[in-house]
Amino acid sequence: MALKLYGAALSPCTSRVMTCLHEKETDFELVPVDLFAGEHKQLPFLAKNPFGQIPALEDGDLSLFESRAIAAYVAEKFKETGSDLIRHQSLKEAAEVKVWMEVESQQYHPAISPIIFQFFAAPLQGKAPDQAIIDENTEKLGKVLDVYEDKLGRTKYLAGDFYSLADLFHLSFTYYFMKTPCAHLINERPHVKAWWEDISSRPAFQKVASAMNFGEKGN
Amino acid sequence: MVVKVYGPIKAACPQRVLSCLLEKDVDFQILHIDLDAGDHKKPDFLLHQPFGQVPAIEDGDFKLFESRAIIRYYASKYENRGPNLLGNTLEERALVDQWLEVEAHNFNDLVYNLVLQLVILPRMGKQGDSALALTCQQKLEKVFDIYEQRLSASAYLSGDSFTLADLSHQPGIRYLVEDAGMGHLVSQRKHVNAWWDTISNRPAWKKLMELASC
Repeated sequence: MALKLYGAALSPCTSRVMTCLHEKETDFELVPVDLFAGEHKQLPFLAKNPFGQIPALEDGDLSLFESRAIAAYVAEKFKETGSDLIRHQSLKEAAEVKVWMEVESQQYHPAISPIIFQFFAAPLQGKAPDQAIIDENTEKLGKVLDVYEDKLGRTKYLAGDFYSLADLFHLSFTYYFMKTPCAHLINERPHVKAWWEDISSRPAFQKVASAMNFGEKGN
Repeated sequence: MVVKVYGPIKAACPQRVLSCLLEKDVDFQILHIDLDAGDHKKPDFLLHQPFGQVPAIEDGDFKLFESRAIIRYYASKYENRGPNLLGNTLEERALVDQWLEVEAHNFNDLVYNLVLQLVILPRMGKQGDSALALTCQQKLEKVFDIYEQRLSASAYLSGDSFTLADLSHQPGIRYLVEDAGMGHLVSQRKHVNAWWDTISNRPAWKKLMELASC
């Protein structure tokens, strides 16, 4: 039975999970949730995620939400197929992956997400991007990226010399970020830039990126 | 071998780690970091944690940071010792992960900002932003409503046993109830109240509170 993923192709959190599913070469069905109609804030979707956010996953009887938990589940369930994303054969490597997954969650995401919101979501609410919020968060993100620049000068990927779920978690929000005037934060750090070019060119992400067209004309 | 934990015992994120180590009966040594003196931003400490935050751990040669990664590591390393904090099946583990993510993304920021405005800034002699505190409180009410609904269906967040998902909430809820005057968020919700009562009376947590009060 195929997995069902409830979400939207242009949503970065849904894309996070889809990238993982592609890396694991696992079939799934994307069931569209109409964000503009507010479908995610009503029943029946609220029964899948009481916080009213996409994505949500159904795998037989199991129902999950939170994109990072869903991706971790997929990576664990299908650990023997596709790319090794979680380094399950080494407790220490697996722990390093978890450190940098948490860094994405606790350091990177809180700085990059408000910038994405200002450029892509605020205009939908009829507002211009708030420069003060953008400036505050580019400063925060710059400091985080300085740490990344140092780490990626020592290892090829975040958790070590191997691609992992920690790198994957950064893809979808960074993809949108690179379409903003703030992209220079990535481009002016050579190790970060090389890392970004590497991870964003992976076929599994390319499949997902083509549908991530939020904010483009006609969408 | 004793695990070295860098951080002040009274801070929330080190407490998350210490609660887990106590549950698993792992010996540790606390290396105090003076946040008021800015020790966590100094070059020595940045070698342990490049983002300048507590906690960080050293277990022999092995170093880790990010409290939620540390607890996942120890819950896994000592899976067969003490309570099972991870879940047994793949599905149970996924639910533990889900509620850990909820704590990280739907709960933590609100508690952090509320406590910063109502407790931390005033302690430093600064003015807290009461409008921001109110907004956080109102959002937390909605989050706790969802927890109330969840906990009416199972004794703990991810199912019928205490796991990392519940443990991860201990330090934040303690701050809300004991320091920020927000106890009503818990006490006015029958199932949340029973859950907090249970998890805050676990011997490991009580031991930590004892150590932290010295």
